[in-house]
Amino acid sequence: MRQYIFRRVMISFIVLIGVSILLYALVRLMPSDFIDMTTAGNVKMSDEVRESLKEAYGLDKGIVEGYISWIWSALHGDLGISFIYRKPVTEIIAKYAPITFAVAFIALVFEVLVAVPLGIAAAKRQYSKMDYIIVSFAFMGISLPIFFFAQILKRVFGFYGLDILPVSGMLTARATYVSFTFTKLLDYARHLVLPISCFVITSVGGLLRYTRTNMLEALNADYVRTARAKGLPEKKVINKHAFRNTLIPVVTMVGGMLPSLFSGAAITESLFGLDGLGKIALEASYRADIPYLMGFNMFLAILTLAGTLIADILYAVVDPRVKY
Amino acid sequence: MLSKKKIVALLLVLALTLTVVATSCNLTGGKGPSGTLVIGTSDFEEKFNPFFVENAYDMQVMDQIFVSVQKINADNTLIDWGGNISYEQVQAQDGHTQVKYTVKLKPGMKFTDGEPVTIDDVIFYYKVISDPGYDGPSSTFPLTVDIVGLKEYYYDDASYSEKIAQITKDVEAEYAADVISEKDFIDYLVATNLEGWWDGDPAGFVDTDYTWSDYIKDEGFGDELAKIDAKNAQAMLNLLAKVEYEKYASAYDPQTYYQNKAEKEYIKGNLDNGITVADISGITKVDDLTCTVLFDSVDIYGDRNVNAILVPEHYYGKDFKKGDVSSIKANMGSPIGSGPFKWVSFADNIATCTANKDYFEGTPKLEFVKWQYVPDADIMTALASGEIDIANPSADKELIETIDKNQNLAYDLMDNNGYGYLAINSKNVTDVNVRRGLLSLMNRGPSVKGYYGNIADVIERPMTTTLAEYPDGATVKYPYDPAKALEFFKQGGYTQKDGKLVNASGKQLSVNVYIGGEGIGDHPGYAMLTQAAADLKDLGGELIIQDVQFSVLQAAMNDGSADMFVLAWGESNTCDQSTIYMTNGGQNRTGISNKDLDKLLTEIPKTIDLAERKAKVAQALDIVMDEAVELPLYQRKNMLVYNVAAVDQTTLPETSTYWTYEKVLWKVAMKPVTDASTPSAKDTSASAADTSSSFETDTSAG
Repeated sequence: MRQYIFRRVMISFIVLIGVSILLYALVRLMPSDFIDMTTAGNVKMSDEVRESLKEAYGLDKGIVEGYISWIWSALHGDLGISFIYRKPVTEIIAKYAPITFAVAFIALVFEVLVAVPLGIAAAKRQYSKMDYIIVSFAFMGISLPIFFFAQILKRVFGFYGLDILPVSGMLTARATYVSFTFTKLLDYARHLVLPISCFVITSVGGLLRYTRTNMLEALNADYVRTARAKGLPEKKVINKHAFRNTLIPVVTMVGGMLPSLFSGAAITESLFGLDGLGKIALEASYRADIPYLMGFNMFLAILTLAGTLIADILYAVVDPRVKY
Repeated sequence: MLSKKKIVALLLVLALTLTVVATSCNLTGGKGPSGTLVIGTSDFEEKFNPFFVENAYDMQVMDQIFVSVQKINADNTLIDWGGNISYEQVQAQDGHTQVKYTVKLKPGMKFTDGEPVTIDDVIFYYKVISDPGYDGPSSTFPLTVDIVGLKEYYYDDASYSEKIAQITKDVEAEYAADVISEKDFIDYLVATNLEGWWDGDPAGFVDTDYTWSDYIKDEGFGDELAKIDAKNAQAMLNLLAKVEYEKYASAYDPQTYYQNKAEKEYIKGNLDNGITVADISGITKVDDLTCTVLFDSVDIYGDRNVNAILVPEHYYGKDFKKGDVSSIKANMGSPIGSGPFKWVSFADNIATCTANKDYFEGTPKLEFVKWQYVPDADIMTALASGEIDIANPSADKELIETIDKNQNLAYDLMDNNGYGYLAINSKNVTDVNVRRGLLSLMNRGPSVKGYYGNIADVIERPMTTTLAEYPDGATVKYPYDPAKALEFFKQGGYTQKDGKLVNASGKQLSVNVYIGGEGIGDHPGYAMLTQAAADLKDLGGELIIQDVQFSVLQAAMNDGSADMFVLAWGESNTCDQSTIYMTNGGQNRTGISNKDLDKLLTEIPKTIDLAERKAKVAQALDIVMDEAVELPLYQRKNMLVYNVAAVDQTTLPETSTYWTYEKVLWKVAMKPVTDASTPSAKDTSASAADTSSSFETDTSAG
């Protein structure tokens, strides 16, 4: 096991280097650069100043040279200074990751809470009305573009509709909270209802269908037939025998879902005005903030690799048959 | 006995009920007017530092925390604020005219940490923005402002001019176009990625369906291409550099590159040897509240350049050392100034400030001011629901109709200090008559009005009409007239043959135009271009419209592949357009080069008399129009929307381009609270008490 993990970490490291080369090339290939864009409207700008700014930002270097200096600093734990924010990228990620993570994590919990029982319910009565309804809703969720669905939610629950939920922001600006209290927590919660619903509804479909498929497989397995033949009550058959076996692939899938929640946050956070990593990433890609984009994307890459690694390890934990 | 399950269920129901009750309390609480003004803004960059703030929304906050010596009045002139700026002309020893500005601060001002504001803080501000290590938005200051001793300070060398002259001479001797060695030229091309033209992708495209390899082959370097690995980026770049060197060396400028490089090394060397020039000799401290700033030449914007922000030296300058501004840069989050409001925090996308009770003009009426990030699409909802009180959405016809229907909302429209234009790259379209012909195909009126309605007007000269120097009675130079356009094309050497407009060598007139319409024609100039394309097609020519994202447009403009492009200038508060239209101007995007124009543009910033300056500006702009490199399109308006159910409208000033509520935010108040449902729930401290206290009447606001 230890050797397996060691091997996996080493492979992950090589993959990360490859990913970073690809990302760096892509980011540098964007048309125009940060200095050209920010100085575009400045009437006072001279060629001389622009050139010296490019030098100061390291944009005068070629891609290969730029990449080498980036990776060298990155390996020493320095992801550079964000062009837009003029702060170390690591500091920005450390500051905003908790917000993005909190939102993503709550969404993930809700997703599991919705997807697993509904997936099982659909599988239990395959081809019934219930099954069709659940699966149709799951498909609708997958098919809805997030920006479109967000507008619908805002229209229905916001000021111009039922007027029960705020359409953007994280907190009621007018209220001043002296300390962290229950009311403040509720204020956060109210503001997060729509973004989290948006997350959950548009991405629950995948997990739901996965649960359903696995449950169906389990229900058709020999050990379930045996359990039924033994005369066990249906509840016990489903909950004790089928469900536990369904859980194995679901756990691995959930492990792999976490990084995608972070990346999905880019659009959702911008739509709802949440102050997280995703919103900053979107702005950074509009304005070619190379250090931040590199830092954020590498962060996602590391999470993805870590996620799959943890999932594989968990696999061994939940399934005693698996040995590495 | 209740079972476990029932107890759990009961608890859950209880929690849910409590949640609903508490939530609904907060709901009403959040909406009532109070002593907190909430302003809706867009993306913050969170650079809350007076030396590094760039983004307009960060700036909105900083404007309330910091005071400058003077501020811009409703008519775009400077008026006293934290002090006064006066000037006198003096004679230098050699007899040329110098201008001495005297900066005098008002006595008794204090920073919010209790320390007094002194002239040392002003001098500290000048020093930081002139520092060779400073790379913030004012970094053009030391090289563009003609203060005595400023460049000596920047280069850290009292005899910099000789040294720079020497560097210039050396660079010229070694790197001028006619003497530079092949190796140095190619090194420069490689180091600058062919001045940004090379995109780093060996398989990439120079133009549509035209790869770098195609380009190299067409230039006659096919044999050499066969010898290298065409997938290797570095090898391709090296070969391209060779191609460019042998075929198009005249289009590049290695001299400026080597000049910059040498100057940078020179400054670094000077600083490494210890600081020799510790002060700017033209800036003299007179007393604790006064200093003088000596300009070596007349500059009509000299007062704007010396108009310093009052920044506490004891706070920002603690660890500042010449050549190293990192200690200042490290503090992006807790500004201290002497303005009407005091910094509290930035969290959850909300910037919070509270009243500075010691503000020298008087105590602000609002206890809290908050700036909240609201996505563009939600601004109107946030205003209508009372979540925010003031915002500046981008104005359009529909928005005005929406606001007119809502009695709680009011708006102001004021001219934007910028303008939209269509430019022609004269290096691509070299014949002036062809350019005139193209401009005669542009039907601006319907296009602009169709997009903006009454919130934009077509303008006739490339300058914002908000400036006093905009020429009076300027008339249409190139009216929309396809027949006239054909005449121009004929004068430019084109004839109609077999339904095609061709030049002497039989090539059809084909021009591209880049516009940032997000791919869906969402731009006030788009309709005009489609009409021009149709008209030009009828005449036998071709206008290719490239509707692209801003960054793509920018790249096409910079690398010269755009023949024409539609863009806008913003924040143009001065009539000095030398960077745009001078032959060697830093923002000369059209390649315009006219000796008379260069002369006028040099004179304009030195002409103090407004009428005389105005005449020169009119003359200069006539030349620009005559050269047909730029067609002014529109002057649009900005919008401010207020929630008048919450904000006391009588405390808002009359608004103009240069004067909005932000200039007198300390006098703005919320409506007195009559409703019991204020956000004074137990754990909210925003009290309405302050808003109703002491309304002073002050008539000095513009």
